[in-house]
Formats: sequence, C-alpha cells, structure tokens
Amino acid sequence: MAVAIKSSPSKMMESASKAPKASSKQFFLTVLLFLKLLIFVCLIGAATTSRLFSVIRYESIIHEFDPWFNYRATRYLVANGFHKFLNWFDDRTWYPLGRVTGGTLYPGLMTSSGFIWYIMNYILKIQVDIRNVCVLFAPAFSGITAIFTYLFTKNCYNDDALAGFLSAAFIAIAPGYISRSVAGSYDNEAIAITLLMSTFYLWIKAMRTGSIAWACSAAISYFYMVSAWGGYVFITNLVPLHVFILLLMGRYSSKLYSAYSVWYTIGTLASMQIPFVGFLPIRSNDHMASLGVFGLLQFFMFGDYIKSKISSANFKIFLKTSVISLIAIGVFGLFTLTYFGLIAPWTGRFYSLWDTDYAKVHIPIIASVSEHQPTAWPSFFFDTQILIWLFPCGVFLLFLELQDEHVFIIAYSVLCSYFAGVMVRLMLTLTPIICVCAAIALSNVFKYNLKIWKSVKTVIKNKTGSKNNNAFTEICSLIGKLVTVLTFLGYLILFVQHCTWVTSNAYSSPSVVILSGNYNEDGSPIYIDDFREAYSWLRYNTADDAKVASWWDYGYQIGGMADRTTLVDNNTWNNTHIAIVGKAMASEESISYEIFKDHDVDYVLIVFGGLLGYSGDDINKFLWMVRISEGIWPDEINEPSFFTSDGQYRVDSAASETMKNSLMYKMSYHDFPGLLGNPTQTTDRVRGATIDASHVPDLKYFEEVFTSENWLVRIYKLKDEDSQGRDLGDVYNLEHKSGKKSVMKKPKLEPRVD
Amino acid sequence: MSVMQEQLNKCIDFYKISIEHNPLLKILDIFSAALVAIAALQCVFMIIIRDTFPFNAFLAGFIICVSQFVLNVSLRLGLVKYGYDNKERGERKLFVEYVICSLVLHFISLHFIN
Repeated sequence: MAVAIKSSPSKMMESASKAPKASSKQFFLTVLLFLKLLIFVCLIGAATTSRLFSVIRYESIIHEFDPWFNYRATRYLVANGFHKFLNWFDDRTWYPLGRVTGGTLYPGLMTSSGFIWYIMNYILKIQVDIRNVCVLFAPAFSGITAIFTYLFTKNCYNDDALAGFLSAAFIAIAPGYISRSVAGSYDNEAIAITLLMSTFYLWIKAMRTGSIAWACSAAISYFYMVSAWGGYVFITNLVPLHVFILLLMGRYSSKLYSAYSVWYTIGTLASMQIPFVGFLPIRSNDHMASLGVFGLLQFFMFGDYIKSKISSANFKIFLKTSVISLIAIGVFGLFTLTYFGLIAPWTGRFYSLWDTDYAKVHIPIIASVSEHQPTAWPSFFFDTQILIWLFPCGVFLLFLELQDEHVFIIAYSVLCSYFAGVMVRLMLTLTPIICVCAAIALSNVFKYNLKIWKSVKTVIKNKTGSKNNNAFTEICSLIGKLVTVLTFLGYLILFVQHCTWVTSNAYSSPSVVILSGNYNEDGSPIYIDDFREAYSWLRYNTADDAKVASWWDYGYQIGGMADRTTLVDNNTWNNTHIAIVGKAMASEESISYEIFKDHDVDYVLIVFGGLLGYSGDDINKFLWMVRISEGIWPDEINEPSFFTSDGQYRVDSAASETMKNSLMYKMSYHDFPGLLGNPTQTTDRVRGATIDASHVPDLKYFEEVFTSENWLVRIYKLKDEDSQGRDLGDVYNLEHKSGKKSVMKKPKLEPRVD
Repeated sequence: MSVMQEQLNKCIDFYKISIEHNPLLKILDIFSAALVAIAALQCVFMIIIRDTFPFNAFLAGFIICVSQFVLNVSLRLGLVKYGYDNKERGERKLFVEYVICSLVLHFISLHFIN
C-alpha cells in the first residue's frame, strides 16, 4: 500500500508533465468507473431491500404453496446429497402412487440454494440455516437480474449506458417482477428471470460478435435456465424467431450462423441432461421451431457460399427451387412424424395459450388455477405503472433504427404482450422487456433534453449583449426542455412511490400467515396464524404415517409443514387422482367415506373462511372440485345439481339438496350455526349467507378433531369402522334415536371476531 | 441448364483452388466430411438394427457430430472472413474459442452418453 502511494505521485507528476490531457482523461475514467460501481451497489441494495418487507412485517418464512415444496426438496437435497436427490422417489405424496420427484422437478433452484448453503457453511464457515438461504434467495438473485438487464439493454441499444442503468433500476423495483421474488417466495421464477436475462444478454452478445465462445456461454446459461424453469420453452422459441425474422429481412451473416448454430446444438444437447426434460427437445412440437430454423440456417450458409461464387441471376433460380422444396419437405416431415407419434403433439398448456377457452372446456385443472386466468387490464398498470406507457414509445424508437438486435427486443415485446394478456403469470416475462423498452424511451428523452449547455452558453452570452431573437428562442427551448425533464423526474418519483406501495401492500404477504388488520393494545399487529397452528397440530398429534386428504392446493403445505402423507398436491400430475378427492368432497358422506377408506385416509383437512371472511376457502373452490370430478365421472357428479333451481350457487337455506348433503358443505358448516350468540343461526361472512342449524345435516362418518383458532382450518377424522360390521350411518341414527342426545364435543374456543 | 452446370463447375474449381492454397481449410473440410459420414453411418446403423434402444447414446453420438460440424464451419467462416486482415479477431482467438467450445461439447456429450 505504502509503495503504491509513494510511487503514484511521481508517476502522476511524470504523466502530468508529459501529457496533462491523458492523465485528466484517465482520472475522469476512474471517476466514471467508480460512479458506475456505486450505481450498481445502489441498484443491488434497492432490489434486495425492497423485497424484504415480508421478512420485516412477518418473519423469515417460506411463502404460499409451491415454495413449500421447493423448500422441502431443498432440505432433502441438503440432507441426502445430490445423487439421492436426483433419484428421489417420494412416497409421502400422491398416496398410494407416490411421485418420482427427482425426475419430475426442475432441480436448478434447489441445487443453487443447496450450493450456496454448502459454500457458506463449509467453506466460508458461516453458520446459516438452509431456511434463511431459501428465504433470501430471490432478493439476492434479483440484484443479479438488475446487472444482467443493464448488460442486455446496453448491448441491445447502441451501447447506451444510460438506457442500461435506467432499465436496471426499473427491473430492480418493478412490481411485476417483485411479485414473484419477494423474500420467502422461493419459487422457480425467482431464479428463472435472472437466467432469462443472462441468456438473452449472452445471445445478443454472441449474435453481434459472431463469436462461438459467447454462443457457447449462452448455451450454458440456457442449460441453467432449462434446469430451473419450464418457461425455458420461451427462449427456445424466441431466439429462433429472432433468427427467422432476420433471415426473412435478408440479414443473413456468418455471425448469425455461428451464433445460432453453436447455441442451438450445444444448448439442445445440454438441455437433455435434465431428467425432467429428457428427450423432449427432439420429440415435442414446442421445440421444433428451433430445429427448423437450425436447418434453414445450414441451407443459408451453403447458399451464401454458392452465392459468392456464381452470378446472381443463376442464384435466384437456385434459391427458388431449393427454398420451395425445403419448406415442402419440412412441413411434410413434421406432419408425418407427428402422425406416427414420433413427435409429441402440443401440450394442453400450449393450446390454452392460443385459445383462451381451450382450458376451460378441456382441462379444468389448468383453468382452475387463478394464475392461468387472462390478465385484467388494470394489472398491467398496477405492475408497471408509468413504464407501460413508455413501453410502446421504446418499441417505436427501435423500429426507427431496426438493427439486428433491435429486432430481438421487438419480437420479444410483441410475443410477450400477447402471452401476458392470456395468462396472469406470464406478466412476469413481460416485465423485463417493458423495463428495457421504457428505459430506451426515457434515455432518449433525457439525452435530448439534457443537451442544454450550448443553449445556456448562448443565453449567457446574449445577456450582456444586445437583445436578440435568437436568445429568446433559446430561452424558450431551454425552459421547454427543463419542464420536460422535471416532469419525467416527477413521474419517476411517483413510480418509485408506487412500487414501494405495491410491494409493501400487495406482494409481501406470505399467505401462510395473514395480518388481521387489527392491533394489540401495545400497537403490534394481530396475526392470523391458523394454517401453521393446524399443520403443527397434525405434526404433533397424528401418527407419523397418517394420510391426510385435502384439496390439492394445500398438499405442498401439508408436506412441508406438517410432514404428513398427502393424496394430492400442487404438482397436479395426475388428474384422475385429483378427481378422486374432488369426488369424495362432492359426494354424500357414505360414498366419500368409502372412497377415503379405499385410499387409507385418516384425516380430512378443509379450509373454511366463513367466520373470518377469508374468501379463498374451499367452499369457493368447491365448484372446481365438482367440475374436475365430473370430467371423470359424469354419471355420478353433476354440476347443475349443486346450483339452486334458478342457477345460483348458494349455501344458505336455498341451497340445493345435493349441495347440502355434500361432504364439503357438511364439514364446512359443522357446528357453525350457533357459534356467535344466536343459537340457531350464524352468518357466513364470505358469502353473506345465513346458515341455519336445520340446514346443516349431521356428520355420521367423520368426527371433528381439530378446528383452528379462527376456524380457518378444520380437520376431521374418519371414524373407525363399526366393530359389529354395521354401517356407520345406521349406528349414528340408532344412537341418536334412542334419545341419548349426545353432547357435541365443541372445542372451547373464543372466536376472535372484530 | 448448361449455364447452371457451368457455374457449378466454376464453383467447384474455385473451391479446389482455395483449399490448395490453405492446407488448414483442407484439414477442416476433411474433418467435417468425416463427421457427416459418421453421423450418416450412425443413422444407417440405427435403421438397420431397427432399434434406438440406448437412445441417449445414439443421440449423443449423432448430435456431437452435428455440433462439431457446426463448430468446424464456424471456425472456417471465421478464418476465411476475418482471419487475415482483421487484427481484432485474430486467428489465435478463433482457435482458442474453438477449442473451448469443443471441450464443453465433449464434456456434455460424454456425460450424456453414459
């Protein structure tokens, strides 16, 4: 250090005396670099801290549903090692089928966090709990996303660093991305967006330089993406689309050839290493576009070579005949291969992308997921605020120049705008490109309007001199520019406020723990912690091998928090199995009992929000259970019979007989009337219906074993079969006829009602 | 049609001259041709025995041929286009990239072939 200090003044003196301009330039560059680094640090800080609301408000907890599975898988990985993890057969889900979990998940997320955990614990010797690694995984990666977005934008838009920084700042705090990457939201998307941006950046880099090394790194990044998220198909189709458009525009170059061919071959080979993907890249139709473009490029390469050697007139004939024959062969080949079953036809999720009604008609299980619904218009504004207005401007500016890499952004934005309109969850892939385009538009605004020094100079000069028309126009334009800049700065400040507000209010709730909105006397908020209460009850009060039936939404949570065997979970790989549970919930008690007994079920868990006003409960999801099971057993389950005669879905006295006799209804409202003072009636606060005691049939085959503090989770146990072989319904009737009005075992709980 | 024939002949002559002048290109082209032959051979073999049983092995063998071919072509294109006059992308850099990519490719392939 001392040497450096000693030597540096003399060096500086030397260079200053020799070339003062060069040294000042170097100094300027150093400052620039320092400032850039500072901006990056700030960006990462902003990206990370704005995602910590959930940890501060609640605690370091895994959120929602899917993250619980990822967390459970990560714990398994950490405890058993990578090889066991890949060969993991999970017999505690999808009872009695089990699930080949190691072969049916994208291992990228778990291995990444497992790796980080290993490095911290064994190499850096920092003792960290795996849970904390998982919780803070998404915020950490969002910082990296910001850096890659900067690189992507800068490379895509004429090396414009301003646009790069703006886009990085936007992506760091845009709610559309935060919605999937708050602390605790330990889901595949958390890492996937980072990899999406890195793959795109490397692809653009490869395409611009034509270097096979960049193409190879793009392929490796693509491999990482494939290992992390099913959405990799988006890249598999977007990059070929980009190349295809360029080819149509007549912009073939050897750079394009090298970049795409190397990326495609290595990327495809690498992507087949993931067990879950397997041979899909050469079998499924989703991947055929990239193969076709690869073939087309080979042809272009050959044609380009011929073209450079022979005259253009001859080349045209050559081109025409070969193009037509090539397309004919390609289309014919695709159809025959699909016909003979060598290529898998398109999947249901793919169809539902084009025909929004497809899922509703054919696959209720896909339609029943709320994030597969079409996006509502306000949510575009909610998720990106001002950026959504700037987005078309940015695309327009790109159209004006239309270089090769601009075509990529345009293709991306057009495709994704469509997809985001079809499915809510694809808003996530649209957000990065909105940020990029908005940054491009804004950087142009700022660049043009901040070139004011020249006009400032003329104004100052003319102040001393005579009055001049020129000066007046200069002043006017100066004011105009300043007003524009200040307006946009104002918008940006509003944007930041909006982002903070949305993040803290809408996207930071773990949904496992809920804020009641009320406060204790000391000002601390009151939490509704019924889910964990119920799951821990299961964990500590039931046998280790007990089977718990619930609707599939809660499968992952039961597996993760209660550690009990479930029948169905959020993986939804077996529609029939889900329909079985749906049928049991929708049928009469005796039928349900038989179904559950066939599947060795010990406990049934339902979620009931009627007391609390929690609208995402099982009664509101009930119609999906009916629909899904109706798809398999149309004779036994009939959706209209659950409605009133005039077609309404009601739960009060007007409810249909089938509805009242269904297991779900009985379990939800068991003992509910008479809870709040009035001995025979209680109001269901979700549906605003009055439930009367006379309308809720008694439970004969099930008994209540647990109801959580706010009645959010209710757990029932299947009664043991009668020792004398009688039907349990008859037994119940007999006991109650004989006058022994058995006293209901009601849990002595003070319901918390505000 | 005879014009076309003539042009194509011209093309082939030109090609012959170009590889005479640069033995490196000659080696590369022979290598590429061999790769195409090996890939074709694997396909024929697969068709003859009418079985693709170790499908991953077949795929790995086939794709590595295609990939290596693509790498060769890229290197060749680079050599012809930039190799001599462009100092920024010198030959050496091209070769280093080529070697690195080939190594990555072979690593993945070997992993896949089991």
